Amino acid sequence: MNINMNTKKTPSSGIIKKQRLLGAAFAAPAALLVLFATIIPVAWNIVLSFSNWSIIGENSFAGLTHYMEVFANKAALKTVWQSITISLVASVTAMILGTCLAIMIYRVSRLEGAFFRFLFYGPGMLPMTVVGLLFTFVLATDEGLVNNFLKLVGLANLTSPWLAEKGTVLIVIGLVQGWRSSGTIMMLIYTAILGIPESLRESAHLDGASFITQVRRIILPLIRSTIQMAFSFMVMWAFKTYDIVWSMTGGGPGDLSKTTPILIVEQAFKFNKFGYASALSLVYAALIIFVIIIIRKGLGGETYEY
Amino acid sequence: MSIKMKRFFARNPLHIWVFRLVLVVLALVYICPILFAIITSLKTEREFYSNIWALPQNIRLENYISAFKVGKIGEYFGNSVIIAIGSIIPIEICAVLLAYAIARLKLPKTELILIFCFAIQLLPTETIIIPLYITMSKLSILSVPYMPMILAYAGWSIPGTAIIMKNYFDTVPSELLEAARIDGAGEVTTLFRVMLPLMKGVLATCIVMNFTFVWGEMMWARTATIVTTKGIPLTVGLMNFKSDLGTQWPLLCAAICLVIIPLYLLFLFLQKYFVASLTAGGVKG
Repeated sequence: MNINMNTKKTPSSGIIKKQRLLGAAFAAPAALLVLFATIIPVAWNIVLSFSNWSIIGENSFAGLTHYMEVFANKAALKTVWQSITISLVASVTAMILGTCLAIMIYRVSRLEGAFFRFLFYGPGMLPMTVVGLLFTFVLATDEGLVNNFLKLVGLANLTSPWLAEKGTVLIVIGLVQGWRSSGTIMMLIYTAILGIPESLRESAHLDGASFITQVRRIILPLIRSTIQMAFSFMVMWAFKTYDIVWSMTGGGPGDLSKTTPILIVEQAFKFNKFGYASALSLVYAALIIFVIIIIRKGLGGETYEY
Repeated sequence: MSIKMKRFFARNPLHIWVFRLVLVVLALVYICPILFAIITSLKTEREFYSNIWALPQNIRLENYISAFKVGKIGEYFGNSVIIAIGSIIPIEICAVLLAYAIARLKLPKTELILIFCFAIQLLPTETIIIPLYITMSKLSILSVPYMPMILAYAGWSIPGTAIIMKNYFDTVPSELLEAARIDGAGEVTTLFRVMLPLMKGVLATCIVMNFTFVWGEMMWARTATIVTTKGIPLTVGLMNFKSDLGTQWPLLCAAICLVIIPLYLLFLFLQKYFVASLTAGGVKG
């Protein structure tokens, strides 16, 4: 201890001050950009949601009217419901597919694993818009891959105008989004499985546990915290429903797949109802944060040290 | 059964074969949409409508050429490249400086700054774009091509990128920096001469992460280019192209492939960094 104290001279306050100044200078450009692009807009968004603001410059205090409008407006609540449906389908699809893929890839040989990882993770790096456009083509009523495939295998009665039907449109969009994200989830979970010490599985194997038992009793409990983290990321991504919905249906048919982000942009930039749109966006943000907290609490529990 | 066979089956029990089968089937499902688009993009419209399953009679790139020229996909592509480069350079510079300041230069309240950086990433973009649009229109930034996207993407991406870099700086042994300091190097020299060469991997990871976000973002890009025809990025351009086209699928497929193929090539070469970017941060995007 003593030696340490002697060699590490405490720097004089002058040097600390100089370092701090330099530190502030280093942080300044980042701080300015973040202030301009994030902090000021968010603060202003809160102010906007309480005021009547129009592009001409009229400005008056509106109190809670915009919020009341959000909760009284059936159309707005419907978009929230539709966003939740899409995100739910997408999250569940991605989590189940991703986890199963990760476990299967872990079990096959290393070379095969690398090949399949590349293949399954691929869609995850494509922009949502491109994925959406690709699937408008795949799901097209007459020329689409899915309907033509169904006809080919003799299930013509199952063909459907997937993106133009009330019952299917939300679920199909959710499935596409889940498909796109499943590779990402797979990668997160696969990395976690690799972190489990081989000795644990080895000893289970020697005790005669089948692979399914190993998965249920060893792998899944040990990667619980990763699954929880991946799930909350996934929900956060899934609620960003603008790109995928806009590129697949544009909110249609009618308003049947219109999600809250689309409504926000439309209200603000088409109808100039900035205050209302701001209030709606804050309600939506609160909903997302609420859902994530529930997931964190609900899936929480003991984590194992290993 | 010969001993060799027995050994083979002991190493490859039944469930592995089931897994292989399932993986191959799923792989087909995953790759089919993309293959279908590539094949369609090489056909003429008449070929496509006469038999959607048939392979193209001969490889023709007409669709690509007309998507590139008539559909202006080439122009949009260029715009996206400019926006990506224009935002990634300031993002990395600002994030490196900020991370270094947090990690090494006794800034006060670093804990608070870090928590703040995390919190910012949780905010949905929807809560930001309306006031940002108003601000930029008042400051007449909106009419400057590329600028609205560059400023917004930089501001949104810096906090997350800085967190990743700061975590990396924490792992660099401080003896190394002490040595540089004793040799008389100032902080700026230390950062650029000692740190930067060490952090190539992290930097690549961050660039890939930021690139995937910037390249794919559409909500803000569409909002910010609502009133102009200049500087429209690829995501928005593709949507415009689609609404002009109606159902000329071969042409649209060519446009889609023009986006997908370069990305897959990039992915093939930089796979390591794509995966690392996922586990490093991956909050925004």
